[in-house]
Amino acid sequence: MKHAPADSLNILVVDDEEGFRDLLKWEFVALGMNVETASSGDEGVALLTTIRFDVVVTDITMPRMDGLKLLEHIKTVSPRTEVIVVTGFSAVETAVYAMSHGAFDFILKPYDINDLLLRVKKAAEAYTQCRSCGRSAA
Amino acid sequence: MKLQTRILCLGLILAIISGGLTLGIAKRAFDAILIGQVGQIGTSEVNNLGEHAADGIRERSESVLLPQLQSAQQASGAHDAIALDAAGNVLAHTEITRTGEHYENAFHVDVLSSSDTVVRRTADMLIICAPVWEKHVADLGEALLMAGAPNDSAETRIGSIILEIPLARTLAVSSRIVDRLALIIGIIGLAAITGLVLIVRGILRPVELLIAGTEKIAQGDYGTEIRVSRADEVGQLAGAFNRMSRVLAETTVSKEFMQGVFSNMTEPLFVVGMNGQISACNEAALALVGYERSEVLGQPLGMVLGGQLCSLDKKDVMQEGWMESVKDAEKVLVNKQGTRIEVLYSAAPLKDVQGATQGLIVVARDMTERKTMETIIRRSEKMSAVGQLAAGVAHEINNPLGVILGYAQALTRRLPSPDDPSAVPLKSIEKEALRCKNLVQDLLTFSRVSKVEKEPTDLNKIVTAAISLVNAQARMGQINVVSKLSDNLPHFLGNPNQVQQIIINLSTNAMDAMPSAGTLTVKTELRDEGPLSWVCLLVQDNGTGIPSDLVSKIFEPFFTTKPVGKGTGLGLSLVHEIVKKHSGTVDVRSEPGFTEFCVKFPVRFTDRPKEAALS
Repeated sequence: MKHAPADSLNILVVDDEEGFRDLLKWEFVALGMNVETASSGDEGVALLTTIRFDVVVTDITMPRMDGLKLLEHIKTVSPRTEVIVVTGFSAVETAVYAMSHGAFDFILKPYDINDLLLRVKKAAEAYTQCRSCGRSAA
Repeated sequence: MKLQTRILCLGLILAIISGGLTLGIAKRAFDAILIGQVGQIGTSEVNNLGEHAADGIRERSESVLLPQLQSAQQASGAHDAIALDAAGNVLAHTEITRTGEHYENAFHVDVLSSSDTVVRRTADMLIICAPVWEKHVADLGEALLMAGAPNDSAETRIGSIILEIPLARTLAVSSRIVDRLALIIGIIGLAAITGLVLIVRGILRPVELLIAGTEKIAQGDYGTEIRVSRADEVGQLAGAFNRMSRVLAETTVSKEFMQGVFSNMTEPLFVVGMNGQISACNEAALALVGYERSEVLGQPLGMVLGGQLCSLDKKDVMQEGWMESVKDAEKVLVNKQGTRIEVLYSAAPLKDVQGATQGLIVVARDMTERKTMETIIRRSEKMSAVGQLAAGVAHEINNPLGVILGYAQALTRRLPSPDDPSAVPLKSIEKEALRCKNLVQDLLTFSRVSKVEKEPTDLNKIVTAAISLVNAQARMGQINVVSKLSDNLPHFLGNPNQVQQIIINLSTNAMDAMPSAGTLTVKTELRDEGPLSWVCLLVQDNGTGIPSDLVSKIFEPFFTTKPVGKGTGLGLSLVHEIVKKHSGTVDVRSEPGFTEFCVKFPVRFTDRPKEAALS
């Protein structure tokens, strides 16, 4: 399992909408992050076996495996990875569900890209802190 | 006077007359019998005395006569006993002071001159007078002397004996007997009258039942039967009455019954005569056209139904229906107030028993309510279609929109300076994308209106919050925003976000109606209407006003008068939808220069202000 440098965050974007995947990849890459994309939950699961991600941004409504299942999977295989859940306008209930199952944050679609960036950065900080505390414990 | 009373009076009069007659006759009979008996006793005493008193009278000896008189007085119960000589001089009197009187009045002369015993009755006295004779051996000389005497026998009248017997006691006895008799007759009479009353009532009871039954039939209640269980003539009469009633019930429909059906039916009904003039109409018809009965009867139907303005022309009235029935034709008539009323018009010829046309029956059913219902149903169908459309499409639009918005925002952020030539197009992309986003959110609100959480809501608080948003918009159009909030408004059950949406939508609508400048007034108040209290939100503007023909459409989804791209046509329909979900009402009142939207939410008494529980 390869480790990214501390200043270069590993981000996974999971969304069945190609437009969103491209937008976020374009945005995060420009900010110097390593970005992988997946169009569904199971593709994300496959990527998680080879790469350790700091932050995962996932849509909820997707074919085959949805965002909530992916969230549960991530929290099982890589508990320290922070997950930001993106929900549709009318899915506040699912957002609440996601938060109670270990999601770091949620954001409603359509979102302000600057707002999302802010949340991703916060999640990365939380991940870093957690990793350092994990090291000190070790 | 009732028959019963008359019979009773007659009976009483008869009883009194017959009772009185009986008593009168009885009284006379008793008096006669009793006095007769007194007279007999007296007569026998007087005759007896007369036989023994001859010596005393001849000798004119009071001392001889007086004991004899007293004994007769006692035996006969007489008041006085008197002995007189032939000349009428009192020889002895039981009241001795009267001895020596001379009786010479007419009565006594008459009595004393009679050669037989005489009984005379005065008012209270029975006077019995008997002559006293002396037998002697007649010699020739005396016989000659006596030749002129009335008594031709060999006896000479030498005096008289008189007994005066008082009748008071006798009459009192008679009166007592008559009193008893009167009592008995009275009791018998009373019993007889009571019996008479009972008999009369027994006879009259079926008559009364017959009267009541007849009156019921007169009121149209055919089939009325009366129960009389008698076999006599009255029973036969009752039986005949019941048969008649049954026959009437089977064969007759009362005029009153028909009148009741006619005037109480809910459908407006006119009857038109052969001359085309209204000959009758019911209450519902008067209510429909708004005229008094007197204004309608005798008028041509076409005129009453709106004259020139009515879509029923003369042909409709005069020809349609006369030949064959017209059924449920949609027509418009105009009532007295000038209001156009859509009606379902039916007409059929009124035919008599022979089948000859007598007139026309016209029914005009008011369709206003049904039309209103149809509009409401159409609107709500449109609403639900919008809801389904929104739910199906919004998600799909949302995603590409999000991408466009995201790139625009990211690029804007990366511009080296705010004056960069790309700044304007990028800002424009972001702005338009945001507009689309708002439309999508309106649509999604539609599909979400039905599943809202409600809580006790303070309208004033929401208005205050919403006004701050409205103010920002108002400043751009030189619009003055005034809020007048009523104190002590009760809370109502509502969703604060949606109620805020109502205020913002109505305010935006009002501001759009005042393009240059104006005053937007937002008021709250409490109204009591019917059994409920209502919290009211009033949004008023002094803008252009809504044309009256558009008022009915403004709440329909996608209806807008704004230029393309300015309004989605969902603002007011969203207001309508939200208000409906709050069991409230929204009304609009508009004229040029003034428009008012009035939204009312019902207040339940349980919706008391409640502290928000924060956890």
